[in-house]
Amino acid sequence: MKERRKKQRKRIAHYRLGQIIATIITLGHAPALWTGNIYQGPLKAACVPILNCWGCPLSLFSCPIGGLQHFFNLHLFPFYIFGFFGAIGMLVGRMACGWLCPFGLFQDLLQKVKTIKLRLPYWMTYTKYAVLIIVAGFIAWFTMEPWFCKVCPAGIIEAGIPLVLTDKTGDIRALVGWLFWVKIGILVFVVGFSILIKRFFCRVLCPIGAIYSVFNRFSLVHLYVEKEKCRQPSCGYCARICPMDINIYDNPNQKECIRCLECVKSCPSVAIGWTFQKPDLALLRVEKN
Amino acid sequence: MNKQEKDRDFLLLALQRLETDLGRLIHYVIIFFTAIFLASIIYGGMLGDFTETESVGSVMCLSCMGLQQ
Repeated sequence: MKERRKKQRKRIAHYRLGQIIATIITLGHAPALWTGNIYQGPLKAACVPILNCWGCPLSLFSCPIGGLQHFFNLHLFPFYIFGFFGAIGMLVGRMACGWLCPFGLFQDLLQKVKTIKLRLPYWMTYTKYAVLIIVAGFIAWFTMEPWFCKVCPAGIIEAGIPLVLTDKTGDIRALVGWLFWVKIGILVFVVGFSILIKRFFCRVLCPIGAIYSVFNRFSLVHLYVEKEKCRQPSCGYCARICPMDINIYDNPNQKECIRCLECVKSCPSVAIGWTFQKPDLALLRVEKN
Repeated sequence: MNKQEKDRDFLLLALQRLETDLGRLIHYVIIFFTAIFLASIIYGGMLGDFTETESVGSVMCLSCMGLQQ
């Protein structure tokens, strides 16, 4: 068992490779490194299912939450973005958060900082729904401004800071206003809490996570726990390695699960699995003995 | 096997059937909703959502980065 756990610790998690590849692809507009110009090609018509600032010169694709707000700004129903979120959510739930999101990767790396770790009170995970409905929804609709973009910490890290730092003429630096410093403050706040709490932003503030989490219970890809094989509560290894700090044993398809499948790979009893078969109908589970 | 055990077995069998049927039903529901969402993407594309997304994504929004113009 110890040997197996040592091996588990040494290997790079599969979802980490997914995150790295997705970061390279989504931020793959290499010419921006020497020209500084934003990509303006046809790929910008496509959204990626993750937080990806489209103002970043390296960005090849569009941000779905930016797109959602843009249509709200125009007082139009966002059929494309609505369908996009729905289709992804129905098929894989929050899997994109675990396997593709560069900002998720950033938070996972911050978690590696050796310091005291805190557990997030569960009620705080409902805050992201308020961010989605109020900031990315109502405020965007009524003020006709993408207010989530204006406070997004991924935006400042991918676009705001690089633009100001690489500004050779000083024109952009001259435009730095109070909102820039507010964004820096939000980034510092998120970074600080992400060091202390696993995936703080994903669980508390991310509007994309809020949308996908609704689908987690019903999505085609889902997890299951074979409770007869599981050695809970003595083991608890899955809960310790979970990047979202959840106990998969209690509910394998809870809204916070990002389907990184790390528990599936690491379970010493091979009691956790994932499948495309029918979603977990826990209420109807018949005890045969 | 007494009557109580027979009833219990019958009930278990009925519940298992129900679980299987509901599992099948929920698969159809997933496929139905996925089809609706895909149709929404296509309809959005017909309305010009792709072009709109491309044009807004190709402009660097300085005010979104806290830069005042």
